[in-house]
Amino acid sequence: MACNTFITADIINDCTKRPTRGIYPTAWVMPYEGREYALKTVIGEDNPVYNEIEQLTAPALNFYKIGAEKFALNVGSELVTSEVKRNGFTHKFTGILSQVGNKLLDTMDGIIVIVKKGDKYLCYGLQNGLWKTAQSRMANDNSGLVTVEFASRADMEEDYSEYYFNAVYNNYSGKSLTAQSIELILSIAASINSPNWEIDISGGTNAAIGTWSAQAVADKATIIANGGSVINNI
Amino acid sequence: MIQINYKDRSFIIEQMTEEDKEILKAEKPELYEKHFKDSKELKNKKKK
Repeated sequence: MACNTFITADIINDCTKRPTRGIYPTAWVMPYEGREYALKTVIGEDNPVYNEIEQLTAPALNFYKIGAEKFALNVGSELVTSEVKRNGFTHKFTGILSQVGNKLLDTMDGIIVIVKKGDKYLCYGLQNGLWKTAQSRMANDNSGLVTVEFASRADMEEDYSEYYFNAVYNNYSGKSLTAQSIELILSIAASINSPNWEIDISGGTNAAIGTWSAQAVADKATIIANGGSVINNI
Repeated sequence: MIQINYKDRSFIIEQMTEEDKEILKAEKPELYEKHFKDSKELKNKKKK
């Protein structure tokens, strides 16, 4: 049976926000290996444009941050057509970094990247990972900064052009979230003003609040001020 | 230890008084059940 390529809902032009370029200069990166995500396609609901990720069945979720300046991070996708299978998308993530210590960046490969664009969090390389395709630093070029590029491998495309990352799943009780992962989850929740957030990041070996960043603590306060609740280890 | 925060409330599960538990039960019954109902049931089972 052929894969379904029929259109099943309206494609909506979002006129509510003026389109702008760029993403926030922070990316959250997790290893592709060991990911336990499932895709949940949402059409005609709250976010008609994006495909939502149904979250975390993994006991541990370890995100690490890549910080950069202004427009130094870039993400995107490109269509790959095929005569013998359903069309796919090549995802790409690039960064120009003033990076201290090369070791981690030099060895890092096979990643999933989450970035923030406006008030949405987008995910790249979810299904098949992003793999390093270029890395260079020339002392006399580009202020001596490191340029690094990760992309989908040939014949390892993604089904969709981008994924919408949502923290709708709130129960991380008994898991082993790092402080960085907690920061990401709280950051997403704080960016959506809702009294319905009930985030449980207690028990297990979830990072205690004393190890969180100041931003994570501030985001927790925002969630509570918005009417939500947070349960955490201390 | 586990901390619960909502509105202006801040409870530490392991240090909650009976009065605190009543407040939690009234305001956030689902959280109360999650953290206290199981342990009560467990105690009752052990008694039997």
